Amino acid sequence: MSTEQVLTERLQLFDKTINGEQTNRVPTLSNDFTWRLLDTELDIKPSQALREFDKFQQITYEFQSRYNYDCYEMSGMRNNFKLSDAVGGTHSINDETGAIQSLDREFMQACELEEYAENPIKVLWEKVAPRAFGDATYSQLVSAIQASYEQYAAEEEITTTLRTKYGVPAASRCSIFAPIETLFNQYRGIIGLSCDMRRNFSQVKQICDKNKDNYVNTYKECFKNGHRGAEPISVWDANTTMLAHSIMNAKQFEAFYWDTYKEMLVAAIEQKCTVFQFTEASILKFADFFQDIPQGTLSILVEKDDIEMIRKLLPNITFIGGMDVNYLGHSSKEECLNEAKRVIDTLYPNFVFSTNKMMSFRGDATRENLMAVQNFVLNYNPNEN
Amino acid sequence: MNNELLQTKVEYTDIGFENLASLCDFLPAEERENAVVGLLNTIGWF
Repeated sequence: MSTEQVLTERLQLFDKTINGEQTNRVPTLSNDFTWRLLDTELDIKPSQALREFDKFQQITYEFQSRYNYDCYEMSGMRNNFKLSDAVGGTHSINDETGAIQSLDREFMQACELEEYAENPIKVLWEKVAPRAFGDATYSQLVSAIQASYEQYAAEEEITTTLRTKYGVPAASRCSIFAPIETLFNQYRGIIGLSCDMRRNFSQVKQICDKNKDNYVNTYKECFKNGHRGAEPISVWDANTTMLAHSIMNAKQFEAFYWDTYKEMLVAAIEQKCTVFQFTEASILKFADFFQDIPQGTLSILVEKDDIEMIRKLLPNITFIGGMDVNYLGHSSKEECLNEAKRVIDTLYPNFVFSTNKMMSFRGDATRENLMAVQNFVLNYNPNEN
Repeated sequence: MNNELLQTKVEYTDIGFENLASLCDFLPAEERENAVVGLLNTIGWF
C-alpha cells in the first residue's frame, strides 16, 4: 500500500470513528511528550533534543517507525527551550527522569488587567516584557525571535515528513488559545488568575469579551471551506487546549470559557467541521455544557476523568484516551493487553485509543508493553468481540 | 544589522519596540513588527 493510501485510510478511519460509525479497528493517537525522548536508541539526551530541532525530528521518526501511531496529539515540541535559553529562561530538564520544571510566575499584575484589556501590546511590551526578559540585550531578543521561526519550520517539517513518509495525518490545521487560557498559562499564572476570577471578575470578563472575536474569527477562517478545507491532511479541523478550566467552578467556566468556546463550536457545526479538544484535569463537572453538541463535531481527549463515566454522560462526543499508563509502565504485557481489550470493548465505537495522560516520564510505559499494546490495537477488530 | 545596537540593553519603550523590529532583518520588512508581537505572545509559555 502506498503512503498516500495509508494516509487516506487513516483519515477515513478517523472520520467514521468521529461520526460514531462501526470500523474494523479503532484508531490510535499518541499522547506523549518527553517519553519519546527517553525511549530513543539514538545517542541523544532529552535536554539536547529539546534544544536541537533536528535531533527531535530524528527521534520522532524513530518513534513512529517503532510504534506506528495513526496520529499524534503533538508531533512537535510543546515548549521552545532554545527561545527560553536565549532570554535566560527558568526551565530545568532532568535527562534521567524526563522531568521538566518551570516556575509559575506572574508576568502581569492584577492592577494591569484593565489596561491590558484596552491595549494588550502596550502592556505586554512596557510592563510584561521587562519582567520576562529583564536586562536582555537586543541580540538576545532577536535570537529568541529566530528560535521561534526555527521551531515553526522544524514542526512544519515533522508534520510533512510524518504525512509523506509514514502516512500519518496532522491532528489539526488550526489552533489558538482561548483568551482565558492566555491569562492562565502565560501572564497571570495559576495563583494570579485564581484570585482574579474572584477579585477582578469584570476585568477578566472584559479581556475575554474583547478577544472573543479574534479567537472565533480565526477558527471561522479555518472552517470556511468546510471539513478539511482544500487539503485532506489533518484528522480534525481545529485543535484547542483546555487547561484553565482546572481552576474554575461552573459559574466561572460559563462566564470566562464557555461563552467564548461555544461560538467556536457553533461555527464548526455550521460548516460541518471537527474539533479536537485536549483536556487536562477533569471536565466531568462541566459535562452539562457539552450535551447538545451534535455527534461528529467534538472529540475530547480526557486525562483525569473516568472515561467510561463521562462517555455515559456524553454519548454525542468522541472520547480519546482510555489506556492507563500505570498498566503500560508497571504491569506485565499480558495485563496490558487484557486492559487494552477491555478498554476498547467498553468504549468502542466513537472512541480513539490513547493513554490517560501525556506520557512524559520513564515510568509511564515500558517499550515492550507499548509495542505489544499498539500492535494489538492496530490489529484488533472490535466487531468480532 | 546594527551590531552596536544589538549589544545594547533593550529599552521597553516605543523606540525600543521599533529598534527590535528593525533588527529582525532576516524577515521581510512587513513581518518584523508581527514577529515582535509574536514574541510577546509567547511570554510565559516557553
